[in-house]
Amino acid sequence: MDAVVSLAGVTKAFGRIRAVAGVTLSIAEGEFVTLLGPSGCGKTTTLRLISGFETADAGDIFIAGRRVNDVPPYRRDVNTVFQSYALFPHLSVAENVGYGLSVKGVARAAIRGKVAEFLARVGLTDKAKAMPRQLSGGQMQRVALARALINEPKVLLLDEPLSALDAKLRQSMQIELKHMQRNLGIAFIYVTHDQEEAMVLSDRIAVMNEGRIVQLGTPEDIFERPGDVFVAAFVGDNNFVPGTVARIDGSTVEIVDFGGTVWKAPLTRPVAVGRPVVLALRPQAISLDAGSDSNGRGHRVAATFRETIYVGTTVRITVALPGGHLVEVQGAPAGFRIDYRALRPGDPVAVGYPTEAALVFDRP
Amino acid sequence: MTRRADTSVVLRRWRGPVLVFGPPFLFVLAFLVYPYLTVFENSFYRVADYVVVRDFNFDNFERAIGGELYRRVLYVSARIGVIVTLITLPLAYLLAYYAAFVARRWRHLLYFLVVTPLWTSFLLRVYVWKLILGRTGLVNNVLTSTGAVDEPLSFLIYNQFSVCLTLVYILLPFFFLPIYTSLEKIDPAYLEASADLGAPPLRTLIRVIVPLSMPGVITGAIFTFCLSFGDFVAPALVGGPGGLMVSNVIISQFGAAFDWPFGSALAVLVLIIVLAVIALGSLAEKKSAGAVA
Repeated sequence: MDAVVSLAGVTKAFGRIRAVAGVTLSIAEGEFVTLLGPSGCGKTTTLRLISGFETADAGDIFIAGRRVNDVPPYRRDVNTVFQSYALFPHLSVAENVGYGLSVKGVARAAIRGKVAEFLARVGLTDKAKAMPRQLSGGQMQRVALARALINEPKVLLLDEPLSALDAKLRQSMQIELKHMQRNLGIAFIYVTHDQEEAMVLSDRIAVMNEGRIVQLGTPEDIFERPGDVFVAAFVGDNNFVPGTVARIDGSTVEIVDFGGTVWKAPLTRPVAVGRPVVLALRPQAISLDAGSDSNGRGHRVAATFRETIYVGTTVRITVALPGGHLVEVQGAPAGFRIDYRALRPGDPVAVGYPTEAALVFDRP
Repeated sequence: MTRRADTSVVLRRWRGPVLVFGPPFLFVLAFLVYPYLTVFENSFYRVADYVVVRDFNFDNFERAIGGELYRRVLYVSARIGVIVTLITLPLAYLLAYYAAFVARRWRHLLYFLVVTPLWTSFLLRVYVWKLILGRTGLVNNVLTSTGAVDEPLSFLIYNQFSVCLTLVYILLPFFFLPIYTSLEKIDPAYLEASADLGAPPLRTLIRVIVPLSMPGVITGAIFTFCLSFGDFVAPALVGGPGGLMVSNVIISQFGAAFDWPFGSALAVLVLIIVLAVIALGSLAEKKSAGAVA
């Protein structure tokens, strides 16, 4: 059994609410797996089931091949980095980091050496004697990390550890976490609702919704081949155009939306003519042409310009389809083939996209 | 002209604070500071022919500290204070721990049950122990009627044991409340972090919960010690001659003995001891709270 942690049909309810509804997941040694989902999707409960702070109503949890359903948290070979860090306020940084070894009865001298080593690892050697309240958010985060990693757990569990940090610090901590995980070779199970963070960090992402894993795969899998509308909507931006399958032509599906516009998409799953579907199209995959221009590649549909939002690195342009449905186009300011600054609301434009960029889902 | 304007500005600025803080300030002055000053003043006088003579001297203090009898009463009172504090501490801690971490749905009911006795008369609650421990009291009735003993046990009441027992019962809520408050404030994440790092529950109690609740323990210990050290109802009702405490002696000096100056000197000594304990306690509390905050 190669998996460090595996869950088999794990279920947990709080009263009438099923927080985790049959989760099956297996994490390999040294793997970075992220549980990604909106708040209330069951990701934190799943993590707490692994750490032992919640007990499963059904299903089995294995850590390093041993069933741990009835093993209390203090006897599980996992450690957690808490969202609030939970550094002991009455202990110094060094005492916090050494806590795990100390309660296990490791000799003082050995603890001192290890604490120094791990404080150096997170770059906080000079803060050993400081109290937690004297640290900044980023420093507390590092202490929490050192305090967990010093125990050399089979798996490190991280519960939205970066959510309290500002954007800049979060980005640099993400890189640091990733490097540390690679160097130590410890499996990380990471909980977040931030899809970008999940993309940056993970070997695999488990997208969760309503207590279930709705899709499990590499960041590329999740982003480029989302399994359903929920994943397509949650991971990255997407335009959704509801419509009906009108024609199937070899490997291409033709979909007619409610305004009568015809869309094309690759045939990736069996669909029947007349079936209600949703077409998903990433804003970044769409190009914009003048209404009269017909030289664009890929499939083109007619629309009218609505508004431009300038974000700096990108420009977001909203256009309206004949039926009134809005579609967002996104690109680098220099990447547009037309002068978007000259557009006035109501100007005709052509929306073009490579057919293979479109995805078709059953309408939920 | 300008003078009048100034006065009215000053009046307007101070009217609010004076109206708000004036009455309580006067109250404290009249009913706390003045009586203490009087006691302090009297402790340096002497009595001749049942009249207080304003003749400055230190005889009262010499008699209180030098006299075997009074030194012993002070010692016995302090010892009872310490014993009561030490016995109440684990009881109050366990109860507070249970209420804060174990009781869950019952915690409010439990809290209510612990605090409710404070609403009934102090005197009544002490008197009840007379009915329980007395010669014809509950305990002796049960023991004699079941034949466990032939004669009512006499060591149950009118000694230091019965005083301690009664004071433990009376003061338990005063010790419980500050501990409970400090336990309730502990973020459960600390307990989870401790367990996560491999500490079994008892380890977590010793290494995390107890240090974080130290401010409450110290506050409770100060309350309990000071209240039992200076108590006079319990020793008066269930103490007997052996369980006499310093407050009883002070009262008798002001009453039967009619030696206000000597009573005042004893009261000043008690005050000094209590203030010293409070000062030490606050110092320790500040230290532990500094580590906790």
